[in-house]
Amino acid sequence: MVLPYRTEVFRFYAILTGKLQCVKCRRDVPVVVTRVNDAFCQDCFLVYAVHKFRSAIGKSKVIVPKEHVLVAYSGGPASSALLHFLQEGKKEGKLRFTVTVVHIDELALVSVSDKERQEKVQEVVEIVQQRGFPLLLTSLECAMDMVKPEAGESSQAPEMCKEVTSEKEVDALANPDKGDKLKKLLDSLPSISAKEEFIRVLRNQVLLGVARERGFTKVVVGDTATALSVRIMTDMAKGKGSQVSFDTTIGDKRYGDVMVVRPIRDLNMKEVEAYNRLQNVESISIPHIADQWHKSNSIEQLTAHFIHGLQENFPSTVPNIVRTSDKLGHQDIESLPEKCSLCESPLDTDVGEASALRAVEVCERLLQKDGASRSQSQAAQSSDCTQHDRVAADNMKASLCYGCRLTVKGLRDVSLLPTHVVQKSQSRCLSRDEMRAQISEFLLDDENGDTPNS
Amino acid sequence: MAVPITLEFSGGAELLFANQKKHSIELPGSQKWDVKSLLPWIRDNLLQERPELFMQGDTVRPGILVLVNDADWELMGELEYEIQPNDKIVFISTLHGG
Repeated sequence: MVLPYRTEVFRFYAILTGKLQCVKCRRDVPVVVTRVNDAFCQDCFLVYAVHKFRSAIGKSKVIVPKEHVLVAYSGGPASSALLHFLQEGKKEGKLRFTVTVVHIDELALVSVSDKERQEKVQEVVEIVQQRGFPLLLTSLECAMDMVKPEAGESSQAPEMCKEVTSEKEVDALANPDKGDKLKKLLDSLPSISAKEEFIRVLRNQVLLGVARERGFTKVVVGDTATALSVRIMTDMAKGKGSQVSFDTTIGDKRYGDVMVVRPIRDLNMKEVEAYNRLQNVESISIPHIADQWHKSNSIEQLTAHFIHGLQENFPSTVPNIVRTSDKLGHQDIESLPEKCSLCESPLDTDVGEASALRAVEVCERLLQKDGASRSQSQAAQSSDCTQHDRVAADNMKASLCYGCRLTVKGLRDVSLLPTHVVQKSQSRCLSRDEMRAQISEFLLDDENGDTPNS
Repeated sequence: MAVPITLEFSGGAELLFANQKKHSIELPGSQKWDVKSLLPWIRDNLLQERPELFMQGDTVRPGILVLVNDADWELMGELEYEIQPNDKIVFISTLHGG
């Protein structure tokens, strides 16, 4: 059989570099190199990728048959591949559960015209309809106010999302007031790293909010192995080491009522892109505020740059990082009932006196009492921060996990945070105040006038 | 003799090239072109902004997948691959996850 010229060139170089045949079938010409040095032909690669997806769900049994799950779709390559896997599974009759897709519109943070925003959302709608799944639309700013207004018992919490039933009815769930609130809050966060972390946590809150509103118990996300390895290193750098095992496991149970599932965690970004290319899966490029953030001022960008660079020459980097983090465990969720008001992870701040956290807190207090910074903090006290602000800030701090404390550090006015976060921190402290009032006659005062647990 | 080829950019890489995904170009001159010499040519003639997001040193930035005639460039010799007339070279940025 005479092969076309290009395939001849193929074979020539393949022989030269020692990658003559597909490592699986040893017959066809390879088209993609993955894992450490394995060359796959098109058919074998597709079988490999689909197998990774299906066995991740099958072996872990995180989704049971007939369950109705929520799938997060951002338009990016990983979630586009995820939707395609699901569609193919449905076509072959192998999909044992039903799917509803949710898309979070984050364009409030970017200065695009309403028309452009509409167009981007329209693109999303078209693709999801092509895949044959129902779609819910929501926006990032929805999470700024998810609290039921006090008015009456029959009042509803603000709606988190809208169903899209026909192509004509698309209008992004844009809410200018909440959008402005979000922008104001982001502007008040001092560092880019804090902004990116806050957006990530808020996105999670939106997914949980939609799932809870619509009665889903599972949310499926398109986290690839590459994304997870960046997440692991970034979490550790941002003081969220206690959440690494939750952030990377296939079935994330920390929230209790909703489980986050990560079925493509065994595929790296290159494999996902190769799959998309071979299956003609389109992804949408939606402008995002993170596009302007450079690696020189953001922890996550720097980490991603580092890992991508290392992975290029050492393709076992990503699998190694993910495999190592798999070995990290966590305490039983039941034994950690208190959750962070912002990210809902179990609080990691109730540790003994001989812990790193206490050491850090002591250092901070010492710095505040130090002469040079005392005049600064006094100035701050007299000018912007009222007593009320400081009490609110202390209450807020106590209700956050260590990582979230770092995220909102330097935020003068904690009332800018989403309403559910403010509410949770207040109710937590109210109940503590009540308890303290009840046992006040039994409490001993320190000589300095500090009461315990203040 | 000029070498006509097609270039494609996707995965976000097209944003660096005035949002144009497909480019049909002719490589000038009579010398042999390989990927190693193609990259600086792209940077100097087609790239609109932020060269550091496309190239790093004399190769592509880590995270950018290069396909030559729909096959991984690692199978074709990476930078040493000699470009033939009517080749299709695709650059996919894998840096925007999601």
